Amino acid sequence: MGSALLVSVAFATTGVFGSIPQDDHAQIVRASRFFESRAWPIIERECLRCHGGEGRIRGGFRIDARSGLLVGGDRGPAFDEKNPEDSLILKMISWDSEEHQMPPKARLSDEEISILTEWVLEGATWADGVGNDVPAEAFEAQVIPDGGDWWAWQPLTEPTIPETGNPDWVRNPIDAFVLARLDEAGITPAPEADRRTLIKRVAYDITGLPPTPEEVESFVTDRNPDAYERMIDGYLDSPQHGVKWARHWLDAVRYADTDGYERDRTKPEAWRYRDWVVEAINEDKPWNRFLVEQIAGDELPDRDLQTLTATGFYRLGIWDDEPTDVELAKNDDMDSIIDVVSRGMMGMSVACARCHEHKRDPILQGDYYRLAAIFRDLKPYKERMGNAINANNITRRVPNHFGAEGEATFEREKRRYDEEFARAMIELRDRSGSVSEDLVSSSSDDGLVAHYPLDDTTKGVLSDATGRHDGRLLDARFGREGLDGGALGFDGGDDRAMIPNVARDSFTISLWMRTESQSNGPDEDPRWFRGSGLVDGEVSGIVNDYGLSMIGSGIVAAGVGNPETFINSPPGFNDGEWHHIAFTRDASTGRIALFVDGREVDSATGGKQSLDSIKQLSIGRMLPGGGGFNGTLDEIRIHDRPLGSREIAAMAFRTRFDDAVVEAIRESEGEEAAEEFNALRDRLLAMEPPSAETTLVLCARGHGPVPPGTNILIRGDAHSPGRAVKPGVPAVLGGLDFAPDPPKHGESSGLRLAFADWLVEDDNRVTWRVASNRLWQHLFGRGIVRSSDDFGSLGSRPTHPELLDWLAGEFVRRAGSRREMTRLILESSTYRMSNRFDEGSYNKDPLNDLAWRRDLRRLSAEELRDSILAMSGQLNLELRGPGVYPPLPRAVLETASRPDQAWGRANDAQAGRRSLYVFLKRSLRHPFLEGFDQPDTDRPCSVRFTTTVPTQSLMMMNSEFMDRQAARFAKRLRAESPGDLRGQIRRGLQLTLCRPPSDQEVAEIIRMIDELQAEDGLDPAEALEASCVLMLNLNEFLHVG
Amino acid sequence: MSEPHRPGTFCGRTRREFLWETGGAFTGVALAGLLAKDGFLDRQAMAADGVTPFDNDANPLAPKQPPLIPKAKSVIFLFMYGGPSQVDTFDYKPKLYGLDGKTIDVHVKGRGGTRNQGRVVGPKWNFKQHGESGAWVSELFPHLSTCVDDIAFIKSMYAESPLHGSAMLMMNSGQILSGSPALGSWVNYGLGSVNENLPGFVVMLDHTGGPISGAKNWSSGYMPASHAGTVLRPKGEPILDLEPDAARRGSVQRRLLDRLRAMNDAHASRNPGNPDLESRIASYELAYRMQSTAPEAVDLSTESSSMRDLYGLDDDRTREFGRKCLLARRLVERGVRFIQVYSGGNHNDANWDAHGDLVFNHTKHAGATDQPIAGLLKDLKQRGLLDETLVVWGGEFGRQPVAEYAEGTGRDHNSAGFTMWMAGGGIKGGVSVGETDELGSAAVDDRFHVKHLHATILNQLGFDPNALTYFHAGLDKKLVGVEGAQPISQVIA
Repeated sequence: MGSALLVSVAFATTGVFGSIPQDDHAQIVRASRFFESRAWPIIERECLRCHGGEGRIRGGFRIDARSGLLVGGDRGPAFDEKNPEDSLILKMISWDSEEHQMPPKARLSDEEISILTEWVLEGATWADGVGNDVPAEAFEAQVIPDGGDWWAWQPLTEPTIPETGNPDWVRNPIDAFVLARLDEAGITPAPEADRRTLIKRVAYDITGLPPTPEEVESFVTDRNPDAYERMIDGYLDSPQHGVKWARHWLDAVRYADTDGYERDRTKPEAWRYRDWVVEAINEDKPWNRFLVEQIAGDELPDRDLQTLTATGFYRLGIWDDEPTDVELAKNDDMDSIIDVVSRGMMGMSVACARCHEHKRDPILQGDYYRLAAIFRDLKPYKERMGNAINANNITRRVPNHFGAEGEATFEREKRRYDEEFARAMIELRDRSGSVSEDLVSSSSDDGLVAHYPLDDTTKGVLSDATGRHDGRLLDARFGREGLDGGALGFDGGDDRAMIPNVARDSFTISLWMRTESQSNGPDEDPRWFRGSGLVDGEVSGIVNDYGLSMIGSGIVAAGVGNPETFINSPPGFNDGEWHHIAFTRDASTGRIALFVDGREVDSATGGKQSLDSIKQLSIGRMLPGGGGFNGTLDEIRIHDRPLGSREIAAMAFRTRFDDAVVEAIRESEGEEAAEEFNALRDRLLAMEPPSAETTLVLCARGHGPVPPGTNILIRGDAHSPGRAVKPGVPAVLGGLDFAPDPPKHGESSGLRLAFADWLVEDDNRVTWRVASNRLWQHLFGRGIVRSSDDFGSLGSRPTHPELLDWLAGEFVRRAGSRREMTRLILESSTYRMSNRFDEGSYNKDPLNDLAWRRDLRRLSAEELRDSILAMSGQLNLELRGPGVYPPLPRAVLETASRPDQAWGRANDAQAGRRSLYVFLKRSLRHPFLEGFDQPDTDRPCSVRFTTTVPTQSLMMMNSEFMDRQAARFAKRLRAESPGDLRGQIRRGLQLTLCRPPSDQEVAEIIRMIDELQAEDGLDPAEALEASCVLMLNLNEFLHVG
Repeated sequence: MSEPHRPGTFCGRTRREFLWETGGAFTGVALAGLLAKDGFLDRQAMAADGVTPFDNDANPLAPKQPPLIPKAKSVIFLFMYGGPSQVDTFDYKPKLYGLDGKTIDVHVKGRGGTRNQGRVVGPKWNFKQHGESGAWVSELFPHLSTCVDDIAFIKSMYAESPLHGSAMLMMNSGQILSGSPALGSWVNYGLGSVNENLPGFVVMLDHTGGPISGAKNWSSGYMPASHAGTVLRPKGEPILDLEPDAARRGSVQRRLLDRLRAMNDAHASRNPGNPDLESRIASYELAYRMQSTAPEAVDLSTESSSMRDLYGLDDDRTREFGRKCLLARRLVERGVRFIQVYSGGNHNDANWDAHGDLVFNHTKHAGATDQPIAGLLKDLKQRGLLDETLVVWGGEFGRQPVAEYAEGTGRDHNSAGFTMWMAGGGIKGGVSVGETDELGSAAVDDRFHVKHLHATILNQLGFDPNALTYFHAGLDKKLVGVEGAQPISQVIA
């Protein structure tokens, strides 16, 4: 081992290679010879298998070229030209920690490490003709993963429509593709189903509801040649079509109305997104536009209320409002979005590339983070804000006419209104200024529970002008010049005043404030209790408290606790001017709002709890022992109700315009002055802010024109950022990069719009296949690719690849019209086949992959519940609106940690709403829907389970829901065929089976009713109800053929 | 989604077959590697991925043999919701008594955030050594202290979150991220139910309400809902929808079911080649049998008065929890695989979450559970059931040695170190593994993550915890996470 010793010595004694003159040619030659003869053999033997040009490249790092060292892999450059001793490659081969172990199987020998170290310190000189040297910029592009020959990653083809042996059967090209494969297999397709079967199938597939007996009979007897087509159109025209199909999409985007976790808070206005989906389907919004609005509705040049609502798409997932690791939580949220986009829209499962290269598909870890970089621009639910949402990050209040034109108009009108309103207010103030002082007091006395004018002189006492709630003064000094008489000064230290807590439920706290100081707390975390207290009732922990404070550079902040709800103003109110601040809470709705200088600056909806944890309020300092306010306060008022915006404006403009003022003017200045004042007041009261109609939407909000950067996370660890990546699409789909191109409003970077535009290009090889496959799946019970959210090698292959490509092409040719595509499929002979069993066909194709017959399917959870409601006459077909709360058994409510607050109440009519509208609470699922396989909402679900378990039978026979519905079904039958039991049963069966029952079927049930009465002692009403339970449990009712 | 199967034949492809069919893109070597451990995967009877086909003829809840020889047949998980304080229960820290009231440097992370200093709250109960093993137990558990030679204490547990929401999910599903199947669902998926008339995974909640996040704690996540826990109520109708309406019981129900069966049979014969129809017909008979089996299982009238005494059924303090413990034993006897019993529910002092008055809180909850738990261990032992029943005790985390507020004895959450114990089911009695530091604030020696606890439970049930997988969203998911975990060998007999 003499040479090893030699090298070590050279290295230890000199460390000189770095200082070799660059122009010393002989030295370079020597260095490259050293590389070629000593270092390269080690690299070739130990590194190239994973970091060479052949096969899979680990960690994105190549060492078969010097450029590979310079570009580096996921963890950044491997070689540091300026400071070679800091090069990552040296750390990696050192094995000095778990992070640094290369090669991974065993540490190199000391000798080998010495050689590589010498080579690196010398400048990592390469040698001509060794390895595979390529220029650095070309290098990244070269890292194209293998396995690119998988069907799903190939461009769309334009398949030729096959010739078949039975042209009569071929109604459209779909049939040609299907029949061609059946012909090959020597299978004859099942005959067309009868009309009763067809209408039931179409009605359920399109609307999720059973056809009425009248609809069935009218179709069965329709002699027109286009009877079938007209029947289809009838159902496609029904708004119930959107209700049925929205559910498919909501599964894929893991829709729920709440956040999950401990508080399982209701997402603000999530239902508007659900309604948007229903509407999009009903108006046949082109599929491309459907996707674009969800991904980038806020970045579209023609954005409006609807496109903003569509971006609620980003806010549907679980959200831990109290994460133990904030960085991890943010990345989990991002992961969830990537999961929905990639599986739901692109048919790719990229989740595993969060931590490493995909094991089976050509998806690199970098691809995952390139996708993440597109969405990084979205503001998260909050940033470092404890267990709270920053409502401003995820919602916005939008005028209903909001839009490209409307927006500018609105802004203009709003400005004009604000100016006019202020002018009118000032004029009113000036006119009323002549009446007596006490009347000019600008506050409404209605509900005034405490008023601290702060003009006191008595030592230590803070007197309440209402005489009820005097407080104590601790250090704070009176005598500063106030807005109206004296005022109370604070020096930012311990001084404060204490008053009793007089506000527990609904209230308005208002005051005048002047400061020039920076306050406690950081601007980026404006939770009231981090600031300098104004009027504070903070109590540590998650309790029913509230407070009002100043934070950082002049942010006014307020909030209530448990659930924590925060609101705040923009910064800048520490400008040394007097500002009027009002904080209101309406306990009946949970809404809190903050007003500065008479204008609402923020609002949020929190809980309706009584704020009863507070014993007293601290003025001018945070409780307990927190930040002190440095400035002056005046005229603190507390009302026991939320004042209206006009009342607050009146306070802020220090004027009053109620009848008492008019009277006072009349007395002091005469009739004319009073009338003038009155006219002015009328004008003011008649002024309406532009478009009072606004809508709060859950939506995307961007970080501004420059998106935050994105780095690869080494092994997916949120705390180990690696190299930076550019936003772009996976290499296997072309690897296109996106650059920020901010929309005019500058609220976001435009990256999502660029991605969305790429996604819906006519020749996008995944989008249209995925969309066509989903249509097929929901019309046949299975996709052409069964794994409709994974077209990769872990998914299944298409049973009819040419058909899938043809459908994808047709979808584009038909401008993304779902409706036309649906009609096309429904019109095919393939769709119209019966469920007829055939031994020979079965033996050749037991899984029915070739579609030789129609698969029977059980009703989905929603279809089943809705059908039962339809039978009982309780079904309410109303569309839109917040989720409803049909009654749940007490036993189910008791599984919640607060059983009495776990669920709302719906009246009878609302309890009959379609299942799509049942409030989807993550921690308390509707047992019937869950029991019949409505999927868990924490993750996307593209293919539901269909289970058959005894608990379903228990629900169908014994649940309170079934008891109620069976009783109503019986009542309905009695009403429709009074006094005619046979007629009642006949009608009941006709309703449940969607066909006229046989005489024998009716007779058998009548016989059971007789026995129930004669042998079991039931009365006739009970016996009919029992037979209603029976009819609702028939397999023929639960299945569609 | 349904697939046409001929009644009585097995036609579904297993995932193995599926992989063979679609595996053209990768080599035989890779395939062999992938399949080496997946013998069990055949049992993933259904999958929402649309890939894994299911076998219509196989009931997903049918009993299954685990791949290895099991030491435990059932698990009773006594969940002390809210987080019991280790230094007041089983983790004896003599130094802490003297520090009471002193402010010291200590790194803690809880609901109130991260702190580096705190006022020590000395343990509020004295400890004594018990049994032949000399295990330390505080005065809170006079009954349980007589069972220590059957118990293995793990005093160096740690978890990833000191906040209830994510911590509950971690203890119950192994992940802080919502949406994964509960431990009991994995057991249900792996073992099915021996007694097809009872659910395989049963949860009994506190009378004050469920834990926070409610049903998420026994959710089957991405597995079918049939693997989720079934809430069993100790009083009244034990399982939701078990009892028909008053007018439809007994002979009425039988008559109804017979007519239903006749009509459904006629329908099935008109629609051959649709085995789903047969399965549903059968499910009504199964449901009917559950109606008589479940009430019998929860009927304590046949239990002797000595049993009532043993479990404390006649004492107001212990009645509620005692009843659930006795029920747990009856369920074990009837083949239920996984039973979770909650001590504490709702919020604040209704569970072990002692933020305010530690003495009040722990006296209440230890008092309600001590005798019932000791009774359960003794009862199982005398019936010879303890050997095959794994009993697990613990909360979602422990508590800090220092006070949370300026005043009072309340302790904040602590996931850096806490105690859990196991008994029976092939667990070594009379041992204690792992240690926290001298303040009891963080595990320092032989630290065990929640996933090691889960791995131990699966191991005792006869599974290689690193091979029990479920294919979802392109990944073979495991209860013990991507990186896997080994069982805690020191506690295994």
